[in-house]
Amino acid sequence: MERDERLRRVVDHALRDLPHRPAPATLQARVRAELRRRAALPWWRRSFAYWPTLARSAFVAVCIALTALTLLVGSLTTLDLAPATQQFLKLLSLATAVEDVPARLIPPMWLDSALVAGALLYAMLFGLGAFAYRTLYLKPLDGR
Amino acid sequence: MRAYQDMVFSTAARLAGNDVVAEDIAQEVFVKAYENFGHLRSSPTAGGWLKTVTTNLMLNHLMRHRKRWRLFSEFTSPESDEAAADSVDFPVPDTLLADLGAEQRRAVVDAALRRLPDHQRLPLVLYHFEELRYEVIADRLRVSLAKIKTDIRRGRAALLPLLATAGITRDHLEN
Repeated sequence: MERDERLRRVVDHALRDLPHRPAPATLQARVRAELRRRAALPWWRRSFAYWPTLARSAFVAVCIALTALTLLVGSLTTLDLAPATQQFLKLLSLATAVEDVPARLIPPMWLDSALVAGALLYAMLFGLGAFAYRTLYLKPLDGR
Repeated sequence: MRAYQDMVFSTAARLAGNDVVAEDIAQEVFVKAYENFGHLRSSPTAGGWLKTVTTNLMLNHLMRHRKRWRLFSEFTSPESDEAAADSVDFPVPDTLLADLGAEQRRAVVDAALRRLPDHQRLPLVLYHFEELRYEVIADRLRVSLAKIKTDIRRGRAALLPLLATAGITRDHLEN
């Protein structure tokens, strides 16, 4: 701790009050060139703050109009939503009815057996993959 | 511009550790100063404004490229950094570079700073040159306070041998 404080003090003393490094001779010329380049840009390629007042006002007006249009279209869509929702519910009930067909035709025990068989096959495939990974991939790496 | 260009360039160069980047940032600072010329022309704090803008622009630039050094800095635990810092066992002298002229001292220090990694140089310069507190530096760099303290400590420890190889012999440091 004492060493740290001593180090801080010594380094601080060495680093404080150093004279500035002289800037490269090219800096002023670069700044002038950049200012000329920016001044030569057309107004629409500059920052918004540098646009002419008329252009800025027009831009704000267009933004307000677009926002109002979006809100208007949104409210119209909401009004038309009720028939669309009814159509969707009809389709949903039809899909549910179609889904019930296999349950009526296939005995439940068959379905349960198929699920169990699927789970067993998945577990076997997972075990086989893990075995292959350990045997074919990890062994050569261990042997290095 | 002539009155402040050395200060702006020095601030940028010490933070960046790279003259090319420092010149780019200095150019951007003076373009911003030109845009605010009406306000700055009569302001007694124009120098402070320029220094703050330089520091902010440089930190923004470096934070954009931060991922490069973050890998080597923040993915190590503070404990391992502490251990590494302790392993640098240079004797701490009473004074450093005291017998050199100001210009020589500046050249030696700037050369040594350029050789420090970003994650040590940046907080070190902010602490010793910009006189920011640890908490402020941690906040600006979005790094934990413990990490900042460790990096600054390691940076100081790393400066000793760098200064030694820059012309100050180890024997001189021990005396």
